[in-house]
Amino acid sequence: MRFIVALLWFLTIGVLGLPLPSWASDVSPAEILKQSDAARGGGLPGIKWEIKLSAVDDGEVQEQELTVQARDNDSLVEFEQPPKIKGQKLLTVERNMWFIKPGLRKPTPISARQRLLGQASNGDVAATNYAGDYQATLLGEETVNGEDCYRLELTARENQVTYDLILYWVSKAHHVGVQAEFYTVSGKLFKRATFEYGNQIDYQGQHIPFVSKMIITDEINKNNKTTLEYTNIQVAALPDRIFNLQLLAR
Amino acid sequence: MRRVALFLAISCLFSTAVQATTLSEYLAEYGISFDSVIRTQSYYSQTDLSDTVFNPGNQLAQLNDAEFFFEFRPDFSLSYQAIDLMVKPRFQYIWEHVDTTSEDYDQKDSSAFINEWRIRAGLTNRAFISYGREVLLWGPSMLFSPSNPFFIDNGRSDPFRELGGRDYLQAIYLPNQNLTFSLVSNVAQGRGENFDLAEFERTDAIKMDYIGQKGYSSLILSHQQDGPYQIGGYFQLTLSDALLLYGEGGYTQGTQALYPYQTVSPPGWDFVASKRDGHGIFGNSLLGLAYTFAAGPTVNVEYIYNSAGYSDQEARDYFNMAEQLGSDFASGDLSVASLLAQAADPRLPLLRRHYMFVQFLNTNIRNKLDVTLRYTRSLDDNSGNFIAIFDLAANDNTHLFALGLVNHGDARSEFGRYIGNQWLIGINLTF
Repeated sequence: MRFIVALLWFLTIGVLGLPLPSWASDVSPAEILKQSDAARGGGLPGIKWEIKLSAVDDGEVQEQELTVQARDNDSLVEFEQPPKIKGQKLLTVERNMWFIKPGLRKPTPISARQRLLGQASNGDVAATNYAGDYQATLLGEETVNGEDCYRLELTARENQVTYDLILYWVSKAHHVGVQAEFYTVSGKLFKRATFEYGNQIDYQGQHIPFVSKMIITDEINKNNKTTLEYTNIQVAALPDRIFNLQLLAR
Repeated sequence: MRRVALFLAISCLFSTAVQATTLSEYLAEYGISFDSVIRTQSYYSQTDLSDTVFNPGNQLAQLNDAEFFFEFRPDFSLSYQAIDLMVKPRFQYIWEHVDTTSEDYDQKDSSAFINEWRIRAGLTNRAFISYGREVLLWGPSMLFSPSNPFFIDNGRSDPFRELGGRDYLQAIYLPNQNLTFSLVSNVAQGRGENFDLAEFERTDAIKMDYIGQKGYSSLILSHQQDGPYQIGGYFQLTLSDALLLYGEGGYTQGTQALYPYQTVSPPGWDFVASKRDGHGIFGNSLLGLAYTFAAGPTVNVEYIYNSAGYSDQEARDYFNMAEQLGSDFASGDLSVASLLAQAADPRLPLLRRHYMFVQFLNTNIRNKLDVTLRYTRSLDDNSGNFIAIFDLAANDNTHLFALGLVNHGDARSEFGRYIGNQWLIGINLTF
């Protein structure tokens, strides 16, 4: 099974024509994390993508379609489907978040912890930058689904971020995060996520793999699963006005 | 004729909704971005009115005790290069039943209007001007918005009814990603409410917003023509991923609030803005905390100090005045009715000085249900107002909602002067 997964990885990356460099053995955990962020939109002048979010909660399936525009620590999530949520917006500027609902024009300040749908927190949907939010420590190396990975421990630099502690497995060959475990302050595992990288972006002459799927599993009720599928990735500089609350709410 | 026009307009807009995707794709070929959301909202409500001296036998306020409300709410937005256009026409039908001690009647009304519209031009990527009819709301507080000189009511206690837009001319400048300067001029009443029926007076404001890594703040200076200058502001700090601290306030020199005074001439009381020209600073200060639990719910706790609110003596006078006017109301004296009507709106967002507000919000329960519980308590007279709001997403297009409101307090307390309790059920359809 592991061989098949590894083969699929190889074929996917091969078809995309991506380079397969390996990190030097002395590369720092912070550098590993920073490079893996690029495959989730980190370090780019601006990026836009669409998400199809599907949440299975106690057997019931809910689906949403979102458009995300992100730059550094700022992001704007616009809810497109289903019709009942169309027009809603989630704005994040640094550690500040607002939810804007049509008909209720006043933006509601919210916290990163508030749930969006299923197991996905507000902070999950547009998170691009683990390197800025977390301090990385290399715990060792492990194989995940046939992929040789660095096992990193990410501890929150500040208490404003979504998670206190993350264990993060980064592919040694492809420089992308393939699995994450999210822990509470008390050290209890409460969510697990896996990442796939079927997308590709071109930036400054480089072909960078980009996340195509994130699957979040509830560790308390393992039947509850939330899948985020990423499509239509576009890299472009985004102006300040996109992330300005005064313009957005009026 | 009016109904035919309404029907045609609705049919036309439904047709537009159905073809919105096609239209959007067609306009996209010309570089025009078009979007639309078509909603209808209907509800039925019943209200248990308080039979108090403020509204004897419901003969003065003539409030409805039952209401059916239907509104067709299409929202359209269009942008071409640096120009944005937004239009929100509304078509409304209201049926009400009014029961007073002297009569019992039904009334119906239908209307079509533009609640909001705006055209905005980007002069550069950092400078924008706009004109139109809008609902301008801001600030982090949940109970009301004391820093806002245009809309102190933030619409949260009844989220199913839209606030009426007012007409604004605005200029916005973003010198960098942390700062925003706004010049806002409210040039006409629009569909904004004006309870005391005073002539509209233009209000100008300058608003300066700063946003940092872990918080934001805003300072608002405003001036109403022939009225006082107001200084207001708000801030919020993100203390952790779950904890927010915020504050908001708005202050003027002197206050337009009305205070009761006994007089020797009939009807024995006067209700005047006696502190309008004083040197004291009056206003509302609000401090709040919001905490999100790991299980999902968010709780907000706010403390409010309303410095223009009635002291114990002023409150005693206010209720004494109402009792006397209420007992004289049957005489038919117009000055009595006029003063009693003024007592309904003493130009204070809250009657007394000290308040606590608590809100419990749990969204996406089983990915379907939002529950909001709000409780406001006057710490001066121990009366209170409790509101429960339930919003259930029945399917991709349908929301079912319900609201329950209960006021408690004795006959000489703030809440419950007009309404004892109320419930409402409704449906929201989105296409």
